[in-house]
Amino acid sequence: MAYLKLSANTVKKSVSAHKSTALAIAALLYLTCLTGTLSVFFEEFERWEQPNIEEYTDYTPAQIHTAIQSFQQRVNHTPKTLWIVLPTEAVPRMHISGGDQEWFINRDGHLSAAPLEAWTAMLTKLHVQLHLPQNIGLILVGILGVLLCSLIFSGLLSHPNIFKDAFRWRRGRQALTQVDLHNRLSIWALPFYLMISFTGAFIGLMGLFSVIAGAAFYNNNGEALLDDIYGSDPEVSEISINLNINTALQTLKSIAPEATPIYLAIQNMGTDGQYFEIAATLPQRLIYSEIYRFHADGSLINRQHFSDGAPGRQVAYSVYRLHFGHYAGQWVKVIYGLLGLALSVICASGINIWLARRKYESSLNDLWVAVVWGLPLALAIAALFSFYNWAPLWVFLSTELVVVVFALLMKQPLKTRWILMTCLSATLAIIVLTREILSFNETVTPTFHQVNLSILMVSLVLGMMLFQQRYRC
Amino acid sequence: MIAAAFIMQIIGISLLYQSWRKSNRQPTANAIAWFVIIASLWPWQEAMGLEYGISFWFMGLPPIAWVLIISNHEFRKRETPPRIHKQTRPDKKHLTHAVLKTIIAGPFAFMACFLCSSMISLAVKQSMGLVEADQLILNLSLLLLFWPISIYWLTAKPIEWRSTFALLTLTLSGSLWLYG
Repeated sequence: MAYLKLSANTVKKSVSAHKSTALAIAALLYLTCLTGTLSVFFEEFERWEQPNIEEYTDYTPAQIHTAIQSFQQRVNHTPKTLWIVLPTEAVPRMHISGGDQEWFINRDGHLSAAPLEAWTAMLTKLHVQLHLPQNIGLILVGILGVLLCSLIFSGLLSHPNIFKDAFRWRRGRQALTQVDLHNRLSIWALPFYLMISFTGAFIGLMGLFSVIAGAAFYNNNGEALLDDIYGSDPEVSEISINLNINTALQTLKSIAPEATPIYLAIQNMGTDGQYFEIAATLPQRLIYSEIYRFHADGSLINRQHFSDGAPGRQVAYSVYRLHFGHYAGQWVKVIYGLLGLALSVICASGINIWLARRKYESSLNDLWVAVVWGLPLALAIAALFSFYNWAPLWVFLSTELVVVVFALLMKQPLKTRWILMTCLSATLAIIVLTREILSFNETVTPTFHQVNLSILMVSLVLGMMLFQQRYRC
Repeated sequence: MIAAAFIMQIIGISLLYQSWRKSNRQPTANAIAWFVIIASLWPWQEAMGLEYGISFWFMGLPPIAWVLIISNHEFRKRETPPRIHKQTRPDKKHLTHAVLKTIIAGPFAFMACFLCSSMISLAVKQSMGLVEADQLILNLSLLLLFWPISIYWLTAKPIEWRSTFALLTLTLSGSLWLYG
């Protein structure tokens, strides 16, 4: 294996930088990594939360028209933009949304239940913006991405033997195990972590960038800057009030037979400037979608050229799927889940190493256990109580607070960890049991049972880890 | 094709592992191993397309390596736990210093890096005739490359006046150039 030739001074500086940055952001970074790992599966969790929504992958223009009519009858105002999210293999559900109002669509085109704003929504919002006001939260999470990049950089330069020890894992001694775990998980998935941190920072800081670059180059017009990157609204030359979705879908099929429509957006609804967009994924492409614009009568206006436009535009629209792991099927999600979990373990083990190298223990040891094991426990308890319509965010925050107080009072990090792991394992098993009992007489989708089985498996793995720890002690 | 790509990755990393296990360095074996690993990119992109292929190539490596690492684990005799003196002080000084350094590093470094990335992207745009979208994305990408590096530079020493002064000067001059 190759060696990294680093001077002792560089290594010393890098260790200092790595330690400073990690200590400053450890808890927030761990929270973001953990919620990000779970958010990879947000589509499955949403289907698990509402298991009795009708699922199908085929749809007709007539069904869409019925849904639009039903929506207009149900709401007392016409939204500026109406979104119809089409069923796909990943999420075989169709829903319609106009601003704050949203409903699922049955196979006959009539509206069914509204999507739940429950645990999954809380989880994704926690990851995306930490439940802070949107702009502040997004920027903060974006900065965490930048700091993660910096940590990767300083981490690489802190370890001159990182390649020499590339396959080493020494178990038995707690400190050595943590060091090897941290370094081995880090080095082999380094490109993935760089990609995740870069795309996360890109998504989070695009808004801030549009403001400062807009002020510098566009006379404070951030909108113009975003139009240059993503494309601007089209000129509507043919005015028609009646929407002809069928013609548009036929046209799309003829110009891009390989495209799979994922959503339809009716812009400036009910006005002379009405037109609609069909977003469609293209095979083997990371772009979120290509967007095809149509006049209301179904004739093609243009497309936004995300798939073949300027490379900058293609890159800007590719970061989303690359960050979410939502491409190329279910296996990618599983790998993203594993690598995300590994990144969370790296965060936890990094601070564990720093704590283990100190000659003494302090309340920080207790607090760190409360963060590492308290956050997943708080998320699990929030999920459990959300079945009974408790506000998941408040349950999450209250549980974490209780865990922190408990850990500080216990003053025994090892014992606290064992108790929290036991509680987490038990809570996950109770979630599965409760969910199955609550849905006993309902017709549910296979995904519901698959998610339950996955949760049960995590509970069992935790149980095995607990048993192993107890046995060894 | 996917199976071929994955098998090539397994062979490449296994070769690397075998070379690593030997006490003396084996440059030829290492070179062959890296060649096989890099060559596995070709069947990946043939099977999945260029974009998916590259991402699968990156994602395929860690699980294979981790399996080898787990199989290679060694047990060290557990040491007797040292006596730990429980202290009540919560490491305030260390933590405050770390937090302050990172907070100061953020805004300074951000503005300085925005200036550098703007200048470079504008220069590239003028010399290569880039369209606006390409220039802006290059600007943002360079910003996201320079910013972490400058944070590293600022936080690398307890008190680093040189890096602070350099970033402060860049921030002020950049702000005057861009917004003045």
